[in-house]
Amino acid sequence: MLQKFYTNYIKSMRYFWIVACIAIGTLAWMNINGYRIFTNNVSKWNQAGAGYHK
Amino acid sequence: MSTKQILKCEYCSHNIDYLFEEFNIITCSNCKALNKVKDGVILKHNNFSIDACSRLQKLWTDLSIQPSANNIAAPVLGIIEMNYNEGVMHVFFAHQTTLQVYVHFEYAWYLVSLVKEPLVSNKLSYIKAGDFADLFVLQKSFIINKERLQRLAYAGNVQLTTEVDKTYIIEHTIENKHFLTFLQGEFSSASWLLQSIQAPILNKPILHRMFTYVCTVCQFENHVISFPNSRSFICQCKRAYSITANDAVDFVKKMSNYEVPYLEIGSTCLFDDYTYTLIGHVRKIDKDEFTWNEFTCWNDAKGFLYLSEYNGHWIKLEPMKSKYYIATQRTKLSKYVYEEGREFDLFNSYESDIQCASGVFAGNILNDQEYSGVEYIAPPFMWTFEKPQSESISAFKGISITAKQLQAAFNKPLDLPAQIGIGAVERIKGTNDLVSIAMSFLLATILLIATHILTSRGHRETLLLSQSITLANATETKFVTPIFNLEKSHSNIEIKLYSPLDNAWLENEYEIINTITGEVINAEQGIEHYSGYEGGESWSEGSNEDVKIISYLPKGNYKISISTQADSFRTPAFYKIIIKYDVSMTKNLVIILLLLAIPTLIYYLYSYHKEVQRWSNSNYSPY
Repeated sequence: MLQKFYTNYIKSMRYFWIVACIAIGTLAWMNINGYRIFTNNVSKWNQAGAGYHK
Repeated sequence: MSTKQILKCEYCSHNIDYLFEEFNIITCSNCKALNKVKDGVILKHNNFSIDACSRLQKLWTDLSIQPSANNIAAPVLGIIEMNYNEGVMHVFFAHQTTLQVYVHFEYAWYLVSLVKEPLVSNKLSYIKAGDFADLFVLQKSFIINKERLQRLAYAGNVQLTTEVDKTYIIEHTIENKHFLTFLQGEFSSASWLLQSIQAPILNKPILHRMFTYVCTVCQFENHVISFPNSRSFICQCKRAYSITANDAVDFVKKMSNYEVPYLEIGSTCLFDDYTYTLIGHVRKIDKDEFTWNEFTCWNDAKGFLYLSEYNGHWIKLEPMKSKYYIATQRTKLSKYVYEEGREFDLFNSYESDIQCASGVFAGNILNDQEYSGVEYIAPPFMWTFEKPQSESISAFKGISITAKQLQAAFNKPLDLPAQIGIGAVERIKGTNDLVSIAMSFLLATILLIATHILTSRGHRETLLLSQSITLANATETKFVTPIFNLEKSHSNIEIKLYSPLDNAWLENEYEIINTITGEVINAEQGIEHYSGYEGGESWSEGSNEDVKIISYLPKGNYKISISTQADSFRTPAFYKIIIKYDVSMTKNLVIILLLLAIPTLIYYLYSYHKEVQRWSNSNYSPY
């Protein structure tokens, strides 16, 4: 049964699963690092602030 | 059942071991004469005509059979060879604790058990292949094959259940049970239940032999290496011959069309570790004048294998004797047949004629030249059921092979026809059926949700600040938060802004300052809310609140400088700001799922497009 499952849904759609694995890995990385996808105009690094004095 | 009696030979009075009461023919080990036995007594043989096969008789004495289930060689006590129109059947009586009967025909092996159910004898002589008939009480059998028994030969000790005279061998199936019944006139003399088994090992190659015939016209020496399973051949001088049950050769006709096939007859090819010899070629033509090529290959151990070519697409087909029950499904005019839960869709039905042929063929293709066939597909697999006029139904299971695989099998470059379109069961890279695509997407969704839940569990959602700041008609204010320590290597902060706006706006500029490194992150957040009553309808736009995420923030000590600008006409009384650290982000999951849906949709549309192309050759296209 596992063999059949592997043949029908994994092996025959291996390109889909490559994309899906990348998606799963990306989601895990984003969640772990607090990264939000498409955070448009939200955060911007400003190195000019290096001269800021406390 | 074992009896172990001693009987005296009718011819030489020598003692004969009578081991099993099932035997009704026993052979004297001294004079080799055959004795007929009934109820443990040797009968007078006055009217007993012996058709013992000398070839078999020479072999049976040291023959042993070794079933693949165990390693114990069982001596063969006797053999029956039954010749019929299209081939030959061998029955082996082996001594393995009890008497075991094995049958071998059309290159499949079966273990036999006798069926003791009463048989209905009404109108049995009229049944033909493809019918449902009452061979057993209250059970309809699907008739696979009906063959006239033409010659019976035996050697050793055997149980002879039939005679040659007016006897038909009926191969039939009920659900997934496979039977052989011997009919003499209206009555059945025996019925066997066949249990398909792996090929046992015989210590002597007796099941087939080379048949050689020198053409009387062109003097070409024709070798029928698959005899007696092949009973027809076409000489290079276009003369077609058939081999009779008595091994005589009859001239049938001179073929009008003859051509040298592009795969050379006599060449060898390797499939599944077995070396086959290409022995024959047939080009068939259907009513719509579509033509396709079929090449017959032969291996001594495996039997026949066929290579079918249409528009440059190749299918490797093998006879499927043990799965005839699948053929019964199609008689219900179903658009599908099923094999182990897998659906095969009706793709094609045809009536074909032989356009040209050369070499040697399975059975006797010269008996009937018109064939009707039906094909079911579940790419890359195919089931084909073919029925020559008034003959047996043949079932084949095929699998698509590429021209490259074919060249590898023949181990030489081949001049093959160019490919046109998409083959009936061709594997198309990057395609799949809708169910598989949907199931895969569903599974990926489950895995993504699980990943999201697991990786979001560590989020603390620490409250850093919750404060209301009074504006008191000031349109610009500045506020600096206390210093926060952000511990995680990287995480985010969520800033929730609320203000009771009434047709006004408010905008915050944030400077998120790392107090150790001095690095600054700038961000903006604005809210606006307007409402009114116009044309009899009230309206509103914007919102009193907004949530902003500052993501991927490295660990460190931070403070946030908040500069506020508010609408000078309707300055709100206050705004409230709530800042949380390390919050989970469900939006990530939603966006990833939407992104994954795009290639899934492309995958499906591409598959659909290719399937439409595949089915354009079919009259039963679901598209």
